[in-house]
Amino acid sequence: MIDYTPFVVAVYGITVVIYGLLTLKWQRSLKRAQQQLSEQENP
Amino acid sequence: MNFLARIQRPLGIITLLALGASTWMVFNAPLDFQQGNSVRILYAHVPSAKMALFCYILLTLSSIVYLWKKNETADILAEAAAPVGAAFTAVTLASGAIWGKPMWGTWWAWDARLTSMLVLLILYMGIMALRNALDEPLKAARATAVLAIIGAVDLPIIHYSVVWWRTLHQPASFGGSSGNPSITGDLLPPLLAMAISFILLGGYLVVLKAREVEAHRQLEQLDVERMEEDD
Repeated sequence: MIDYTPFVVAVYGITVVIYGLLTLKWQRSLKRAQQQLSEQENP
Repeated sequence: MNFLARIQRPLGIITLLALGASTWMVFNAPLDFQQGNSVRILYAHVPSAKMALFCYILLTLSSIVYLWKKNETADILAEAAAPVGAAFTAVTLASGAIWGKPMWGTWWAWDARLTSMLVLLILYMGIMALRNALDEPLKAARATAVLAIIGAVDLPIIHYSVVWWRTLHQPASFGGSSGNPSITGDLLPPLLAMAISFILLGGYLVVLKAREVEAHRQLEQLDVERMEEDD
């Protein structure tokens, strides 16, 4: 049987990268916005 | 929105544990007698496709509630659901193409299911681009809600495309017209585990993005108030 491992690795790699990067990007953006909010509300 | 702040962390931890357990199940599941190892691609592809549709249902319902009740929380949920749905759609198309090359002999075919999923990605992109293009927030919310509701016509087309047309894409793995899963019992538990994990992942991403959108809106509101005070 043909070894399809590279295809499987590519799919799971893309999946982890897309969902992982989105999570990190939005977590950082939320944290930054919350910091700015607290600085502006309590200067 | 305080509710979203309370559930975000526990939901994230449960999602990570569920993803870890379901990934272990996927890589310990038996191989398909014809597809071999490549069947593992479907454990990421099918749940992503389901979540791409669920996110659009959330986007449509939020848009209807926003237009009907002028509820800002509904608009925030609609704004959050679009990029999450776009990500699930992109993963669906990419994983389908990577599975299609060894199984069908081609990365892409202008098949009814594939084309209607591509239309869904274009719709998500269009909705996000429209919101970014309009400076007036109320006008942007109304315009994207209307576009999202019109675009919902693509959902039944995607779901029934494998029934209405003779397609290269196989019929639904589960949730098809017969009501019974069309895959063998050995392969079903990891697929269901991955589906539950992706529902949790989608929920976590929508909660996270909704909180981010709300925080940015509060910052913009503070800026507007400050400018009005200065005037």
